[in-house]
Amino acid sequence: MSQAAPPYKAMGNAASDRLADLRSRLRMASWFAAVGEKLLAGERWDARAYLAGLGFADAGVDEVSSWQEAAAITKSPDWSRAWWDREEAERTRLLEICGRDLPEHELMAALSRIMELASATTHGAAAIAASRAGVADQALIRVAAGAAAQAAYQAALPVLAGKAASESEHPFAVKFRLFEAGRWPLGIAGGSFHVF
Amino acid sequence: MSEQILVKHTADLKDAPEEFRNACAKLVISHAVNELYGAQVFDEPAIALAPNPYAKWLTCRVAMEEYGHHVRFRELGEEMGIPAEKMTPSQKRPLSIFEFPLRTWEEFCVIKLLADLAEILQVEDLLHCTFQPLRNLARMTMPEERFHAQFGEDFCTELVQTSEGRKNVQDAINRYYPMLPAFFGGSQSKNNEIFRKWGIKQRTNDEMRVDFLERCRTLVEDKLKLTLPPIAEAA
Repeated sequence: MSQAAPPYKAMGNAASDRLADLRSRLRMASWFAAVGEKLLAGERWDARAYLAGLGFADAGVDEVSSWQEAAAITKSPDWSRAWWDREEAERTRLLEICGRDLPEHELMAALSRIMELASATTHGAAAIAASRAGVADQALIRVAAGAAAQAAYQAALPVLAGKAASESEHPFAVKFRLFEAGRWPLGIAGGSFHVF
Repeated sequence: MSEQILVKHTADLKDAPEEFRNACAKLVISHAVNELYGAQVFDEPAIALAPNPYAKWLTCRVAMEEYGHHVRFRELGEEMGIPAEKMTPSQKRPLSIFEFPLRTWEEFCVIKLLADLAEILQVEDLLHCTFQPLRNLARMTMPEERFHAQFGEDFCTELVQTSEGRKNVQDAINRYYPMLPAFFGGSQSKNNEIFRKWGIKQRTNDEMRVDFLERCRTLVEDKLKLTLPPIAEAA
């Protein structure tokens, strides 16, 4: 006699389970709390590790001291398309790996939950950090929250891809660590990686 | 014309007339489906089209907010007893305005400028809805919808500063604007009649359409100094 299938939730969700730690870190992170401050040695190390991991080891690391400067860098005409494309290529590669052992709907549901959580968490934090600096630019606050949510989504991918041994060293994990520490990595422009 | 009824909580809906319940369900399904589909066919693909990280991350945030609107409407629908699968584009055909093939950043900015303005009008019409959970949801959603339309206006204003950008924005308006009047539904819409009968919505489709066309004229002709193409008479 065959048993009826248990309810969906009782079956568990491998993708969602793998992201439990990331969800917890996402809630606890000091989003944007350290923007504008001097970079610590460990943060510089993370910035260099991120660059090396993506193949931009030659880029320098520059501090950004204000929201206005951060906005200008993200709009800079000499921003690096190669950097953005490298991240996108890595995202696509990891998604393909994830798809090998996770059902698509499960994978997408787990990533959607990360995005929902990031969406709910980061916007308010960006608004508070900006207001502390006397900035009330609603668009810029959304840009910051969008960047943070993208980083959370990216950080989920090496975890879901099952790279447990190396996931903490993956460039997406390292980038998330910078956000987690209250920073906003703005990307490469003019040959330097700018961290706010 | 409006019947005197006020439903304060979703749980009270069971005591409301069937026509009222069905009308509310139709609106919630429509919003849930179209918010999701809009995010999938316009906002998410636009991230790749955006010209710099600022615009990419802002578009990313807009996509998340549109997806968030879908989640809010879907959750309300589930509270109302609507099966989740009925609130996805696979079960209900999305609106025709989403059939526009998005290819350029200028097109996306025009979509935000005009389609999100149309969405604002639809949400505005729910701000005094007699089904209060839907009214509350409309009030929560409105600031973000306004921001999305402002996003379109800001980027279009920036784009029209160059002759090439001006030409591309005008071209996108010429192709997209004629699709929009139909978004408000037919002049003799039975659904709209029922919505107004119960005070779920306030205005006729034609009233909303006229308001929309006038607001478009202000935006496109007065602010951007571009032109609006002729449109066919609405059904």
